[in-house]
Amino acid sequence: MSDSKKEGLFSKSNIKLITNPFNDDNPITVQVLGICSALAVTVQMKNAFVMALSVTAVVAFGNVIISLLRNLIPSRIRIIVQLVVAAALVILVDQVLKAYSYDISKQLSVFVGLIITNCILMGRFEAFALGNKPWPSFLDGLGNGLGYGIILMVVSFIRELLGSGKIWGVEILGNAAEKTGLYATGYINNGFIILAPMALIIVGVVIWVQRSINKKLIEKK
Amino acid sequence: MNTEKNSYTFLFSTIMVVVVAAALALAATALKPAQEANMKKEKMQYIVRSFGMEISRDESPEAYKTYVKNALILDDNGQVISEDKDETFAVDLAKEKGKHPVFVADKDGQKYFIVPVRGMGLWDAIWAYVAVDEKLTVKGIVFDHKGETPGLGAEITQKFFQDRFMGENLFDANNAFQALSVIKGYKGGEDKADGQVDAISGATLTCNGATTMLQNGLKPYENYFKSIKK
Repeated sequence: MSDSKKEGLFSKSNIKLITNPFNDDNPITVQVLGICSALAVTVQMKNAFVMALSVTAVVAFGNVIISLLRNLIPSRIRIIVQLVVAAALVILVDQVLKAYSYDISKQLSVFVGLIITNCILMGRFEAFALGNKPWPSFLDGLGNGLGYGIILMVVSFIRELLGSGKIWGVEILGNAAEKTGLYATGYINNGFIILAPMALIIVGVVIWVQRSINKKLIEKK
Repeated sequence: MNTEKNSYTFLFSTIMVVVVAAALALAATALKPAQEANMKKEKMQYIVRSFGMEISRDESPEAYKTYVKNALILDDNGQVISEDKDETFAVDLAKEKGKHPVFVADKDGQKYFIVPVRGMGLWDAIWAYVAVDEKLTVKGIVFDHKGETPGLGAEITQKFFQDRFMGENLFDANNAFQALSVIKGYKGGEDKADGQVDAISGATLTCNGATTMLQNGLKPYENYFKSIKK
């Protein structure tokens, strides 16, 4: 990005910053960042959705802050500075949720705090925000947060459906306890799906499917 | 400006720490009243929900005032040390030892005794409000937690689990105190006399924590329960 030439806010290269993480540069399936939380929060779609929104907000604003400070941060302590920015933002989000959106804060419980350890944050701060201007950094954060969110929704959809027979908390396969709907035929929920190892396998399958569709992701031998 | 000098690094980190600390302290102080109001309302909501009132958090202070007639604090031996309603409500089980609150509610001519208990789940604190009638039969229970795993341990807050406690008795047939237990692979079916309910699969450690919490938390009330038993 050249500094001399004025660029439009939504120029082609800026739009690419948002759309690239959806597929070609997806934080989970291509950069393989943020796997830990992708395994932990995908038991239910609702949690996964709010988590994706929170991460998107923190990455986008964290990117802007880091980008604004990029010429002031001493390179030897830049990782610590990034961590402090991420942690401060996460605590702020947590406190505001507790005060004004108590129900969501209860639902997210531990995961708000866990955003701090999400590798996507540090990855984008380090790889993008430190070398780019605030606006592109904001878009990059937005794109990566949403790219993370898409995978979260796909994985949690599969896990909630097969693991609990529900979508977004709604029982769509019938009631497991009262044996109605599909359960009347002897179908039972796959308890293994709600455990973390299966989430890893599902993420693996998603990567496989994505690569067989998008051939340019396959490394040359 | 040379950002690689040691002095600059020190200056930068000092300023950063001061700015961030000030911002967080400011936010925490400014938001504290709103957060505490939420928690107070939630406690009232749980107390009234334990005896079967499903109402929103904002409506609960009104219902609490109407139905909870009095409240008292017991010591470890079940002796009454205070009968002040506000003082009882303010007891924080996490911090104060040797103080055991009881809330006495009266709804449609039926008396309820609500007892709060607190313990440890798998990751963090769990707590519950147990409502019993004068026969010491469980009329309702409300669980909550700080950090149990969503979809597994956090399911203790769900109705299907809490309904399992309905009708269980704190005393067995021989009038011995048995409190409540959550049992993995419970074989008792609909047996309501044994004080035991089935655990949640995938949440064994949280359920074990709930058993410990209910056993230890209800024990100090044994003498008091005996005195009110009809």
